[in-house]
Amino acid sequence: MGFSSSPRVIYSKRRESRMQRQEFITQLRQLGFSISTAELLDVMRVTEYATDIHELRTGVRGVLCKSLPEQKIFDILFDMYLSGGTLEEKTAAERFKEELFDMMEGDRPQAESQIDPIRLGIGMLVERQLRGVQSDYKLAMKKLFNEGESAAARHILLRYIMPSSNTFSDILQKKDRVMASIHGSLRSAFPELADSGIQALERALAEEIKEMMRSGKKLGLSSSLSTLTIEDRPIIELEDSVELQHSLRVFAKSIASKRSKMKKSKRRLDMRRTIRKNIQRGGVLIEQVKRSRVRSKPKLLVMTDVSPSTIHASKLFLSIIQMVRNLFSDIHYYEFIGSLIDVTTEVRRSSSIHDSIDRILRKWKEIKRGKESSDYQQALKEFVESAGQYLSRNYTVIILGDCRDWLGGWRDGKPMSTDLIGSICSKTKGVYIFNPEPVEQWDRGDSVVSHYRNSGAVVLETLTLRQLAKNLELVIS
Amino acid sequence: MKFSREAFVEKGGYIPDNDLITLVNVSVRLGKPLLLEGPPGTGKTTLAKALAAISGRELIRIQCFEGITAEQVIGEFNYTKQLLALEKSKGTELADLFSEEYFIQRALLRALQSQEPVVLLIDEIDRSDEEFEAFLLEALGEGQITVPEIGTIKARSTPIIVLTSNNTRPLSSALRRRSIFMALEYPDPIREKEILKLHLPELDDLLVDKILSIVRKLRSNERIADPPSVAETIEFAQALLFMGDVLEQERVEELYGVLLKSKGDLFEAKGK
Repeated sequence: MGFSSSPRVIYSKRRESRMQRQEFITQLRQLGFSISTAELLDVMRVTEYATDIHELRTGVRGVLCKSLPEQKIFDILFDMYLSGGTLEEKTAAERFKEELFDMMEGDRPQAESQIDPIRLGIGMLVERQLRGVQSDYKLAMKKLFNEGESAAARHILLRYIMPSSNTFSDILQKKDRVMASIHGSLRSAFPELADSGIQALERALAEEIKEMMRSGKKLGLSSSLSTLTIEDRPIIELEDSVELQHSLRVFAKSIASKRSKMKKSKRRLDMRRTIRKNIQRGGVLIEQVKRSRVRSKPKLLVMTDVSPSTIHASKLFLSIIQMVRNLFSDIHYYEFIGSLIDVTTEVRRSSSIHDSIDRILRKWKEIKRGKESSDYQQALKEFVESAGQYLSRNYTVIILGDCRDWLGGWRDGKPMSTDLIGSICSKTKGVYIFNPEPVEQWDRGDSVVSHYRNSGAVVLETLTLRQLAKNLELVIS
Repeated sequence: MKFSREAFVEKGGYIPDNDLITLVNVSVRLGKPLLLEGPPGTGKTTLAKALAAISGRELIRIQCFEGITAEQVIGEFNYTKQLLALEKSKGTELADLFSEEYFIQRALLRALQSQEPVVLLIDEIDRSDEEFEAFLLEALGEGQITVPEIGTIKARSTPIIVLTSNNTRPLSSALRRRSIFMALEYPDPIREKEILKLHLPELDDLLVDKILSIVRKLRSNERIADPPSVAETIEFAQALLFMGDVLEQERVEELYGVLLKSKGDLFEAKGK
């Protein structure tokens, strides 16, 4: 004996699925996809052409997505709205087309105006989906796990089952409840997994929670599902990866190309050579000859703070400097914490960018065996002694450090290191301090940013890779 | 015209994945350019060549670079010819010096003016300046270009346009909106194995697996700036065959120069 659905139930199901598909485009728009009416028309043409759900998905994705992150978002949404098991393959395309017509009649561009122009990442997408649609976070989690995005999947799970305040004490107090929730969620999301598989996932999640507690990070603020791109995420959170190295190279290229454009744009007309050139054409002015302006390459003195709080930013900074080293005619490298060492030779002898960073950090460990605390006064004093011969108007000084002069002495209400900064500023082309701390933390505790600024140094916030590259461009210009 | 996997393999010597075949067909059907973005060596340029081979169309290529100008792809007036005509016409009626007769056509104009449809490859568009990218919008969106002295030139036939980018700078959204977008990654091991076997059928499976494991290891090393491309993998396989199928670590490392092309990358790969 079989069950037959009443017409009312069928109508209700169709209406639900139709709403889902209209919602699909609306959701894409709300997530930052700028979908014009022309693109909706293209999508309709794709639906005419598509013979199965795979062609529909790939074709529509090709029209609507303009980057790899957008493709990932599209795929998750497509699965949620359009490739459910109940859809018949051919009719899915037809229905989709009808609904697009409906949408265009009542096209709602106002939805776009509310969108943050910054492209949102998968994290935001999933969060919106899970909160806005009658959907299950376990579905998204499972999909991400199956696609090998296990860190992202773990993050979703944690985000939805952890106590809302997520403070250290909260997690500690509700530890058992949290672990029980994790177990329950994993069990229902992965019924096919054996106990050993579930236990392995639980262990990974427990490790992640521990790590978050250790690092004092609040859940949801930092994860592989961040809504920010790698260029806009805090440098301290970036892990070495192929993607990071690619971004560094893109920034290096962008800096180099801006410098090259700068050189070209400022060329003047060379009258003598213009006349000579055009004599060949009967004296008719056809071609202009520009002066080949010789613009001397800048010279740099680079001081990087290698204390634990800034080491990561220092590494990235050194990587970028290494990638654009051809833009400078001379670079000298120094490392400091409570004292300073010259590592120029290590960099020059290195075989690759990573090798140079390994070498300079190794040298620090070899020479400075004990732990040091920040002492800008001592470090700058040693810098003046070590780099004294280069302190001239030909050189620009870049210091990558947080300006936290923990051990430096004070006199007349200001740190003694300010006099040294002032003296270096007066001798050189300029002193730029790239500070990897947010502006809100400047001048708090042992931070002496204002004092350095008053002495003539330019202090620039350098929280992200984008800021790092922008600041470097400023120095080069 | 619909491109099939078989045509790609047999006529183009190219093994595409299903998504790529679909998007090529969608792009041809909609008459929109196909924008391929991905790291070097993922088969972007080769795809355009394969499309030309399959369709029997001429391949016209514009290699972009920093500073490329519209004149370099549309064409320019032949000043010398104009001056000669000017001299020649002294005392007689002056010819129209700004007619097509005095215009030297370059790649983009040739592609649009061709009676037979062609495959137009605009390679590494990310290397060009933003001004050049903006100039291309008219050609890509409307299938026409405007030369002030001549007027608007409409395409006589619809070319298949393939744009490639290595993503060294973000392309404008205007250009992206006019294109069908596809992000290309290195092929998965199964497809890469197929590619190797297509080009070097004499390779045995064991050797192919070994080669792919070496190449994949290098590609996942974030310290390597320019990971090996598919073409370099094929050359590496050829080198191994030439050397007599040697797979000892030291001998394989001697051949890393086929896969990696900078001192820094070689250093990182050998881990010294």
